[in-house]
Amino acid sequence: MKQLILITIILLMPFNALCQEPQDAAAPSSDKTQAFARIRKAASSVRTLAGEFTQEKHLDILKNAPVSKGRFFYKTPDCLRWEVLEPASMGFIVKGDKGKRWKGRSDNMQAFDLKKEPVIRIISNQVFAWARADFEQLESGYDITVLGYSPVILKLVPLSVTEKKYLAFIMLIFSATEDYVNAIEIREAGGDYTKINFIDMVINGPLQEDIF
Amino acid sequence: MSGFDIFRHLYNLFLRRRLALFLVAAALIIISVASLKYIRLSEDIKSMLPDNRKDFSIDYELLQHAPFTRKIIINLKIASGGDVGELIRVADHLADAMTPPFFTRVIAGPAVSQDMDIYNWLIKNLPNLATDKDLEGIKADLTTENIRNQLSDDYNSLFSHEGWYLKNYIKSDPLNLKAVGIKKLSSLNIIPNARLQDNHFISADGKNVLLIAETNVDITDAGGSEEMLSRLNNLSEGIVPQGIEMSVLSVHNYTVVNADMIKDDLFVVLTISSLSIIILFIFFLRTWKALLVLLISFSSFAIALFSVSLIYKTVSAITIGFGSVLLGLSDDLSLHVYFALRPGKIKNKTDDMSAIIAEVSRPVLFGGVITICAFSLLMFSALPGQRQLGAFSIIGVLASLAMSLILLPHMMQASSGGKDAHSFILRERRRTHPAITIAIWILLLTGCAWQARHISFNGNLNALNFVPEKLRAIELAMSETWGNFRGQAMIFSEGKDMESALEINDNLFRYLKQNAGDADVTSIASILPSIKTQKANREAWTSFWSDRKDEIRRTMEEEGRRLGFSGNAFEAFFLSLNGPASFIRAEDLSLSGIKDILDSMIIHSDGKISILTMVPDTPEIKALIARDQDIIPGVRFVSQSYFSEMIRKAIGHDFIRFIIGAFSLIVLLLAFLFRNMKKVLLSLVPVVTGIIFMFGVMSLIHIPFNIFNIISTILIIGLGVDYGIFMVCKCSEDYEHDTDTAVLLSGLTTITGFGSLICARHPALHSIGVTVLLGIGAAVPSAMFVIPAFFKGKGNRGGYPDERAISNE
Repeated sequence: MKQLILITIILLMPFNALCQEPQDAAAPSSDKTQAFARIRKAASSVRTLAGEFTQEKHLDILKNAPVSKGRFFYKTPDCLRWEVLEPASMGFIVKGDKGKRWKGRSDNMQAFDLKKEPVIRIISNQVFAWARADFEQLESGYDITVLGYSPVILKLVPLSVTEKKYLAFIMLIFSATEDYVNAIEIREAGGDYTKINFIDMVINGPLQEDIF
Repeated sequence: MSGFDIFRHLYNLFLRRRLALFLVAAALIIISVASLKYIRLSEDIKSMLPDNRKDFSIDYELLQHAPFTRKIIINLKIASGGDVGELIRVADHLADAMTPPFFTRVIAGPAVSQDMDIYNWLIKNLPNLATDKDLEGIKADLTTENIRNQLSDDYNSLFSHEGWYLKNYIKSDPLNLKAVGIKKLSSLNIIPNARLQDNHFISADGKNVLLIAETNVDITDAGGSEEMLSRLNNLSEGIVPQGIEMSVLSVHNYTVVNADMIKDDLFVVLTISSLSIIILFIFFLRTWKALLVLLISFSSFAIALFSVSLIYKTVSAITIGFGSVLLGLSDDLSLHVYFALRPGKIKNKTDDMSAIIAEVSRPVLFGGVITICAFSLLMFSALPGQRQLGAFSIIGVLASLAMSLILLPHMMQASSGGKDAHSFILRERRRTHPAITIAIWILLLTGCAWQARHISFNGNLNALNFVPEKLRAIELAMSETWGNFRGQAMIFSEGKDMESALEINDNLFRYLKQNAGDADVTSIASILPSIKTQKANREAWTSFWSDRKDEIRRTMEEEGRRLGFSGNAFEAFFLSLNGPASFIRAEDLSLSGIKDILDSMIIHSDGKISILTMVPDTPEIKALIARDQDIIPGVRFVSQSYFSEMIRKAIGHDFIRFIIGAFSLIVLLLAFLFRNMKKVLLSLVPVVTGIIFMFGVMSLIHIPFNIFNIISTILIIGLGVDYGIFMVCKCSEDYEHDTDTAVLLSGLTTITGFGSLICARHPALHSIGVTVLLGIGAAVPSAMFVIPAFFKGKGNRGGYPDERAISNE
């Protein structure tokens, strides 16, 4: 179960690609508060999100850093579809406390109860927390540092000792409009890391009902 | 002076000491009644299991270890077209709501996939677990193409949302060898037809989900069971929506249903029997002195119970239940004395009374002594409950005999003086020609004897529980949906310590896999083999990989490189092929989902270890185990059906011994008492008639004979012999004491008192009712008509005159 801690981080937000080097010094707390407030305000207007992503894996068991592609959809307050299209088709949908997942063809879905699926539950809860910009919840599990303001870059270091054994930190880079996350980097304690970049994001666009 | 003059002298002796007699009797009765509340009652059904063979009690104890014996099984079924996800959600909601104090734990599934440690554990312990057959399977899968496909799956899964933790499994088990271990987990599936979905037990058709709940409410606690089931119903009303049907199966259901049923039955039966007995006494006796007869019956019961409690540590509830039935025969002794001394009959209060007592004491003493001797045979029974019942009945009849012959005359004498009502008695009337009576009797007896050949015996104690249609339907539906997981046979591998028990268990598992065909075998052998087996498995594993490790490494590196894996991606896997650091031991196994099963299948008792294996309870499996005991030493086969069969044989044997013994003893005693073969044979007419008639009719209407019928049969023997003796004495000797009225009233009170149990819906009570109604119902008329017919046919004195009628005295 310890590995689940890593998953809490993987898909955190839709969100703009840019992985720049973090700034050394943390911002003053008043600036951090203002940044959080701006993000919270911007997030409050988001009802739907849709877009594509690329996922770059830097793992010691892989000789290169392969890139996978996929798409995702979010609808407030609790609908999420995360779908990998390449190199193989797979994904999951969360709608309230129920969900479906598939491997291969998406018309061959398997239903599940979110409460009994800890991996997906943690991922979706994280996504929903970021979509709502629920910093109170996030700060209960992570020490959040603002590394930059334009765009806003946050570094999350786990507070849990157990989690620290597996996860070094997460870095989130927000969009210029600060209403969604543009890129995520997840650094594992062992040195492996994953970068996720979100592209072609559509905010508050119409979504098909059967997408979830 | 005849031997029976002793009662004349006793009567005269206490004439001058009547007060002392009454005081002593009252003290004895009061002490007995007062002590009843201190009696330690035992409801343990084991008292009715033969104790001359240790097998029975051992098997009975082992049967209690069946995994579902004390659990509450809840089935949720969704209407066709419903979503299994919705069903699972409702099941989880209900499980969450089932909290203490009524429910201590609710299991929705084995929780295996939630706990990733199980995969690591399986990977790590494959060298200990993989058998030769498993290695053959692995060998077949180690083709280049299979390796390529598996590594491709591994690679793709790295990009899934689960890729984060799968990465570590891919490192340690890139060829997915853990699938071999996962297959082994299926041997732990204690619910045959269940499949797992989202960690829930789901039926094959996907329409049912199973919850297994544990409770601290004892299965014998009817009140607690009712509260617990009521709580569950309330929860379901708030949680289970329309379209989902909930059904519950547990021993608690049966406890509640049977307790309710017995309460209802007792109300009906007691009302019918009380009213009937009151009407009979009013009709026949018409005086309050009749209560003296009832007083003697109840006092005999209390004295017997008190005495038994002094002899035995605990008194079986079954003894009390059956004892009260058997003591139904105690009132015929007192009734006989009562009718001989009935109000208005005695003219000279001194001389006539003592003479009559001397006269009546002969048949009463005969009847009482013979009954006691018959009951004494119960003391040799293999059933401890029967032995206690024997002691109880002997003491009860002794007390009744003593009070009827010594106390009752004085009580009647002391209470005389008022204006007595006239009793209703049978008087002389025109009777059917003796030859016709005898012919009808012979025909009836022959027909019943012929029919009785088909009587069957049901030794299943559970069959004596009341099972309403609704519960029966739930049992059937559960069995069809999930397999007969509650009725599986159990095989115990017994050893003096864990290792020896596990070795026997391994041997049994191998044997069943080879010989039991497709039968579902639930065993821990696949996950927890003995150290000996683990050693052998390890050696085979090491040998297997040493032959092909290098080749496999080359293939994997080549295929992995093509996919994009790094050169040392699978180093951890190749290191693990060298084997785990330690053997698997039961005490170290704390894996979620497995530990519960292990705990329920490893039984520690009496300094030894028994390991449970479950198999279908079929004659084929039973025959297989019986046939090959030499090949699989140390195992013990136990099943409800086998146990019932053993009980049936043992009780049947016990019963035959008792019947033969009782008959022989009765014949001997009758021969000694009467010294006349004809009288002996005629005395047996009511007994023989009652029993053959009972067997014949029960066979005709397809009622199997059970343990309750056996006890009731003893009542028929006891009462039947008494009736026979009374009537033979009346017909063959110069004896005028309204014997047939006493016999008729005794029979009618017995029939209404215990025969009214036929109105009960509870199988046990109903069984007693059937036996008594049929047996006594036939014994009474045979005593009243057949015995006199034989005497009249031969012109005996004392027979019935030609003209007789029913009238008031």
